[in-house]
Amino acid sequence: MDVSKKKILNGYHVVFLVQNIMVGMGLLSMNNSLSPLGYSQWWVPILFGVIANLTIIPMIWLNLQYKDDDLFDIHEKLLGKWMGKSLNFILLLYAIILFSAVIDSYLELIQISILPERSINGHLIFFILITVFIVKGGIKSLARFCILTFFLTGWMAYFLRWGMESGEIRHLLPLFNFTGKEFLEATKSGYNSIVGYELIMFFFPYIRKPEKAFKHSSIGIWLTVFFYLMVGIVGVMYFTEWQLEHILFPVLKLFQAVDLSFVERIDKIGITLWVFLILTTAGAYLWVAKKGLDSLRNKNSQYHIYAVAILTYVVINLPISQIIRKTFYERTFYFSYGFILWPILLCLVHLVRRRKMR
Amino acid sequence: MTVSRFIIAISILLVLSGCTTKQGLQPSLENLGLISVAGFDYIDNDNMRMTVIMPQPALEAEKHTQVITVNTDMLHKGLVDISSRADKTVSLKQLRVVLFSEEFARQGQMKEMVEYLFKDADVRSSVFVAIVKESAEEMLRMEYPDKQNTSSYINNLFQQRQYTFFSPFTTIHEFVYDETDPIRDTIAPYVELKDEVIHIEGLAMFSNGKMETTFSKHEGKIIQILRGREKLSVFALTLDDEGNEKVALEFVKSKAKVKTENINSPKVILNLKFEGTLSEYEGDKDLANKKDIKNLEKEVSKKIEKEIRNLLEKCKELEIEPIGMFETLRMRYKGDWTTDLTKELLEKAEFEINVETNLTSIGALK
Repeated sequence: MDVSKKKILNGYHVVFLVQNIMVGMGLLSMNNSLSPLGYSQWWVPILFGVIANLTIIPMIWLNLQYKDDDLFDIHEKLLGKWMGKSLNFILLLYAIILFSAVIDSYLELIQISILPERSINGHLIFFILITVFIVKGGIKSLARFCILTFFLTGWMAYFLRWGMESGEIRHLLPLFNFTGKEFLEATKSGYNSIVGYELIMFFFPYIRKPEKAFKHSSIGIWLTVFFYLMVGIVGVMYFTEWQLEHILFPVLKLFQAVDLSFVERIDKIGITLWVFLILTTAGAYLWVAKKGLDSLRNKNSQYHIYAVAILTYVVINLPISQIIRKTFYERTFYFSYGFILWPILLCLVHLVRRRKMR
Repeated sequence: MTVSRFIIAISILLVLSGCTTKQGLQPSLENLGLISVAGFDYIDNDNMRMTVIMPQPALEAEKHTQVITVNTDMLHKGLVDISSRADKTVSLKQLRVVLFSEEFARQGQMKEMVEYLFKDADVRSSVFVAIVKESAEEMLRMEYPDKQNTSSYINNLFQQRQYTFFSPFTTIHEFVYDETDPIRDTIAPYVELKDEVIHIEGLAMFSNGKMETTFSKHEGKIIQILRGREKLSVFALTLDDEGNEKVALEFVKSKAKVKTENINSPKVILNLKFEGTLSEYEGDKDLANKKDIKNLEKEVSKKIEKEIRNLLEKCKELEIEPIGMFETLRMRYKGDWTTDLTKELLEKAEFEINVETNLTSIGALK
């Protein structure tokens, strides 16, 4: 498959890459992380969509100035070799940690809800192997997998029907029943369900029509927002404020409300199908980590994938307590908020440099 | 290619590992004792008596239900105890119905137990809960020779059917929902073992996590109408005080709109619309006469209105709000709505009830 630097991603690839990297563990617990807002949370995904769409503008603008470079190259060009390399090193660590955070939290959910009696070590190895397998084909293989994932999992939105039927539509009002503090708290914990679109800065040079990338990525973002909005509305209708605050994975409870005559535990089917959404997210971070290692060592090598995979396995199995690990992952997610705003600064640096050159 | 071969090999190994005979990890289906109904009785504030039944699939067994009872203070400790008495690993994965004795519910322990089940990932949130008048253990130990087996009998009993619409058929999710919703109080079906059969006797009403009182089937019907159920069945009314004029209506359509105005002196406006056929009539009116039919409609409306008013006054007296009348006020309320606010409003509430009945047909006979 195509692994060299060529223009290989068409419009569909971009739409579904953006969309599927965004959807991951965040959606499962979105109602819960937005719970400081109470019932007024259901429209917040729209707001997040607007923020995402605004913050993607500087990213794409920057990438349009350097059409053949990803963020790693841009760092080195804009900030000099040493500065750029050290920043890239941090980015590499960030990608590895997010890769492990995504896998770890998913496997933990599997352990809690499906296989409480088993250790997850075997699954972990298997999971990392599959991700490696997907990423080995390069970004195009990942993009194709994203399209497949969309059609394999998108239909699950139908399961929300039962929650909607037994829910209370009047929960949707009032719209603004929260304080500023509650809003900030909810944004802080809730926005991480929508991060992921910033990875477009890394696969941008592979896009065949860069001038249309903004349109395609916006479609991807709003597709995600559409699903989030549906889950948000149905969650608010189906649960009380106490339940929103205390149920860790509201989507699974929504699946439990499904009443079909031929199959019972829809939530278990839901969790297992969710593996596709996790694979795309994890795969994207693994791919970014591989690219990071490539640029650090100035060498394009497939072995970098294995190196990152082994490193991830080690990170997940480090003998540190679960609580420290959790807070660590959480902090890394907050780091990604900074990362989303980072391109704005880079744009300014770019403008200043251009003026100087003249 | 080598990588894909490697992955295939690994996946085959993983799949085959399901066939291991090593004991203790995850039991195979034949070795699982799937609890279908559990019952809880009150001993004291720390201890409870837990009874579970499991269907016995083996044809050789004489009885097709296994019943096990233990005294315990925690749910999972109880399960371990039960495992030691059963020949299989017990699991709550197939739990369908949970029964609580009235005393257990009145002491306020039921809320805690239901929340515990709600948290458990093995238990679905669509498991039914019900209150048993005397002992849950007795109900589970009872033999029902004309039924398939106790498990499916009790499970079928709580499935929604047309003629039992008065009963709420509360699930674990609904129980927790009502319990944590400051707008309304919880209701659950109330059952009794009578003449070796289980009767659904009415509704158990909760307030602040404790069972307070019971309502009759007829009151249950009205509560279900006001809670917005649209599919109703037969509704029988006695129109005069002496009991000479009786009607039975079969509803085709019913619609209830509950609106509350003014938070300072709340006025609850209930608009109800019924459309249905007259299935039985006993009295002096001539059903062929259009005027008489109109009168009958009016009388029925009046009677329903009176019954609703009585029920609401009773709720007011008991400080129980099973309907959620103040939802429309909450929709425009800024800040956190509390249970105390609901109680306060209920105390001050005045009711305006408008009932409109429309008899679409009076049957095939003149």
